[in-house]
Amino acid sequence: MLEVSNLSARYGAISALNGVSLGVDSGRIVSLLGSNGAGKSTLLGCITNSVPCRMSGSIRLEGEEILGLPTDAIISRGLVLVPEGRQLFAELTVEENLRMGAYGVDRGRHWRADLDRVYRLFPRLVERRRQAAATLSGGEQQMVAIGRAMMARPRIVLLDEPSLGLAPLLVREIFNLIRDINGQSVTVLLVEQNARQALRIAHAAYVLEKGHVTASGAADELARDPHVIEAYLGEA
Amino acid sequence: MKHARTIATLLVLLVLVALPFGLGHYGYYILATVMIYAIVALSLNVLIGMGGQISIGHAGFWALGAYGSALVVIKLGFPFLAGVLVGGLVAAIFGALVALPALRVQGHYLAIATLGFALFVQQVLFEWEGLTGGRQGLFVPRPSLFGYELQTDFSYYYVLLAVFLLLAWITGNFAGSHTGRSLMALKMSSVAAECCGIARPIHIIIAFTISAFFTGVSGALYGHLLGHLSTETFSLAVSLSFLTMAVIGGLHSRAGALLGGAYLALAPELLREFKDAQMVIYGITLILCVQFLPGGLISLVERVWTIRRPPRAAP
Repeated sequence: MLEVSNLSARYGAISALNGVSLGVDSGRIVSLLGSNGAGKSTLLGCITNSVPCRMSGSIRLEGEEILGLPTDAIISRGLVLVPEGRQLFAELTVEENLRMGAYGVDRGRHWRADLDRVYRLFPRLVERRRQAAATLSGGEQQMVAIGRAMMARPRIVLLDEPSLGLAPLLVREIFNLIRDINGQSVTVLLVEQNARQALRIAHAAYVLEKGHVTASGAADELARDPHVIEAYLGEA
Repeated sequence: MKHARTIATLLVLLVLVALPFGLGHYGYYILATVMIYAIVALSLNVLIGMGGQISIGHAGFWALGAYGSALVVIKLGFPFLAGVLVGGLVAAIFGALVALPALRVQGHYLAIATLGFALFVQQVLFEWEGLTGGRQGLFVPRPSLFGYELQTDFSYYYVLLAVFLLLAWITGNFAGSHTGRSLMALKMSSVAAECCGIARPIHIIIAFTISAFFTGVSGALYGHLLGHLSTETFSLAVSLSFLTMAVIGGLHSRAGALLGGAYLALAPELLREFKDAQMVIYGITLILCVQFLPGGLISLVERVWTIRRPPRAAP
């Protein structure tokens, strides 16, 4: 589905990614782990071409090179980002935010059916539909952000730190929801600091450190890797 | 509710049509400048109100429109209206170019970039004596329609009113269009809008292009009103007063643009007694407006309007 090979990125003189390669197979949840400043968000920014850095290498979406394509062209090819910190339209209502997700893609032609699908996935949003997005709790805002991405009819969703700032119980709920959207045949690339939860739902994972991929493999294998345990799972 | 709005609009139109009667030549001239400024305020409605982009270089577009129109009318014998269109188009081309830095920088930096553009335009027009007359300036013929010269500013006022109404209508349609709404989404949150598949660059370029076109048209119309162009007319102070009037009138309303134009045209007349203290009064007005009326003077009108109307029953 998504194939990143030998991707390097730099902001001016500062190198953020050094020859990163990773693959996300269709229908999978793939986690990208790493600490602050490892280059995770930069990698997502490169894939969606939404960061001002210089890139080299290759990013293929179902075999088609997308590196350097404008962001909107990438989204209309079915790759949608759920950005870090939700980034909702604060003063718009939940429903307006969701409808915006379909706005740029096909001018919202199928929005009604898609909206129903999102409300079935996130029943809690139905009661909040007329409420301004800014007044929701963090978890509900995250649901809106994911729902908005689903409105664009994605084939693959990139999630940037969906658990950021959420209470532990909600984190679990959000991760279950991510598994639900994956069940709707949407491929997921999940960037997380919460490695335990990420590995719980992922099929495969990569570890990014200082702009390099330092480990990769099936999620359950990585969860047993002593280095990963020490660095990211916090167990001796 | 809808009827109330239509009636209000018709009343405003009626007042605008009736306004010049009984005024002298000077009054006609002032009214003409109200319309010319209101068109600029409209252009800033598009750029700032919808697009969230700043410009303190609109005197540059104004100058390009004025000189563009004057030159094709004088040197190529274009009719007046065609000249105005050319003036607008020349400004629009530069508007698209000025949008390019806006794709990279925002806020203060964009303000400085647009400021630099206006200074550049003024300087080039001043130095290019062969074309613009440089220090001597340029004499611009009176406006004429279909072969008839508009002798007085009384008749010219109606032409200006018609142009303002046309551009206001275009602005309203643009605001409701897919492109206009995308622009407003980008203003609300560019990250969120881009995540929804809205391309930022093209919309920023469109906002600058439309805004520059309107301001260019206004400049062209102004040149024909003045009858003589010199580059001093297009100084930094003009850019700043444009920004001021647009904020004071209201950046999210076409009627607000009209109020802004009226403010910029009338304030110097009403405050003439105060001489040097004028600038202080302008400054205080602007600060009060930003502090207490962020929606501009028009929001005051709207507020009175809603108080006067009985509250609607809850559905």
